[in-house]
This record gives sequence, C-alpha cells and structure tokens, in this order.
Amino acid sequence: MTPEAEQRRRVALARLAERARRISLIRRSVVAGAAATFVLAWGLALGNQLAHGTKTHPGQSTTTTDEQGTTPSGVEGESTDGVVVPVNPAPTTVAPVTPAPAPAPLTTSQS
Amino acid sequence: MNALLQTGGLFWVTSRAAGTAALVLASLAVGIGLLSSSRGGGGRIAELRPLHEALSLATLAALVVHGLSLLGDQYVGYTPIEITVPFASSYQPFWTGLGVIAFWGLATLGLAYYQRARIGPARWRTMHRFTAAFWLLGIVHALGMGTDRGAPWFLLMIGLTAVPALLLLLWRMLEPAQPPPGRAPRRRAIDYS
Repeated sequence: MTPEAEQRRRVALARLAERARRISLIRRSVVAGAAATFVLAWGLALGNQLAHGTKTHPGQSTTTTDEQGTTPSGVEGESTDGVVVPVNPAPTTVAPVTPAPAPAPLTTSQS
Repeated sequence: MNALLQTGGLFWVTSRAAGTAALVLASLAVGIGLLSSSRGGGGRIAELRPLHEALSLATLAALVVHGLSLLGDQYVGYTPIEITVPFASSYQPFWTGLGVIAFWGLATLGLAYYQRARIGPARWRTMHRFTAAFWLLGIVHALGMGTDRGAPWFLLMIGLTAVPALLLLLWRMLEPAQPPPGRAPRRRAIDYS
C-alpha cells in the first residue's frame, strides 16, 4: 500500500470512528430524553391522580349509558381517599323509552 | 397514595406516562423522519437518520411499557387479549382498538427497517410512508380516551411535538413528487482510450 493510500485509509477510519461516536452520543441523548419525558409525564399524571382522586381513573369522569340502557357495574362510585366504593354493583336498567305510536298506514291514490 | 398502591393505580399512572412519552417520541420521530427525507434535510441527513431510528425504537419501548403496565392495573382489569387484539377490549373498545392498531402498525412498519434488504428498498419506502397514518391513529386514540387528554400539560407536550410534525407532514403531502433521497448516482469511469 502506498503512503498516499495509507493516509486515505487512516482518514477514512478516523471519519468512521467520529461518526460512530456521534451516533452513540445521539442514542444516549435519546434514551436520556425519553427517560426524562417519561419521568416528567409520570410525575404530572401522579399529581393529577392525587389532586383529583379517582376522577382521573377510567370511567370516573364520565358515566356512559349503552344501547341497552345499562351502566357498567362499579363505575359510579364515591371516592374515599382514593378508594373506589361502588354505588351500584349491579347494572342499573333504565326504563326503555315508550315508542311513539305507529304512523297511520300510507295510502296512495292514482288520479 | 396507599389507595393508589392497593388498586394498582401506580400501574395506571405508569401506563399514562408511558403513553404520553410514546406520543411525544413518535411525534419527534415522524418530524425528524420527514425532515431527514426532505430536500431541506440536505447535508444533515447523516445526523438525522440515527436520531430518527433512536426515537422510533424509544417510541416502541414506551408503547410496550404503556401496554404492559395496563395489565397490572386492577381497576379496568385489562387482559393480554384485550391489549393485543383490536376491539377486543371490554372498556372503550373503539378507542382501545385504535390504540392497538396504531401499536401494531408502528411496530410492524418500524421494525421492517431491519428487513429492508429482504423487502426491497423501494417497497420498504412505500410501506414506511404509512407510519404517519398509524402515528395519527395513536394521537386520535389518546385524544379519544386518554385520561389526561384535557390536562394542560398533556396538551402542551403533544402540541409542541405533534403540531410541527403534522405541519411537516402536510407540507410533504402538498409538495410535488420528488425522486427518493439518497446518494448521488456514481459516475461511471469513462475509458477515453
């Protein structure tokens, strides 16, 4: 190998090493950033949870009624220091709405 | 705090935090990915691609934590089937289902990068474009059923990361078609003899 080729090889290897070092730094920064984001979100979510009690748990903020007119059991409850006490352990059936009277049959006439 | 521990509420908090982190990381990954493949990315592509890859892998890790920690929460009582099969959940099946689809889409398309040689670069590139659709599905999932969806800190975190990525995506979609970025074609040695 000529001295010139050897020199080029060394420069190329140095560039590769520099690139690998930069990539390693990027990866470590992303891991640190991801961990920091997670910790920040965890703290904020915990603060939210403690501030609002069980209201931030699913089903606590809104109570939905499905097509059958039932509410999920144990969803509605009272919070006692964060402990959920189900008010209605069994599904509550809502009285169906009385259907409107059937319309009079349509009659057609040809003139 | 004791009540939180008793009901597995800390798992619930962990899942929410991991979901938020996943959204932030995914938004950054999409934004960086769009920048790295745009004409404006220019000479910084070499720097942006490892960043895009690292952010994508961090997103997947956060999504795994998001799903697994749900299993520890005793309040909703998710089962492994419910968090892996779309629309199988008894709790908010539609929104949960969107999240499950988003996870599988992001995982499949993201990890397909490592099978690029087998898939073929052109086909992989076409597939990879759909990643943005699954990212959007993840945002819809979070805004549809996320416990913190109304919290200012959540909206701020998502707004700061997702909105720029969304604008970049719109810009890309409106941009005229361009040849895929990559190395400039090598010049063939011409034999003048």
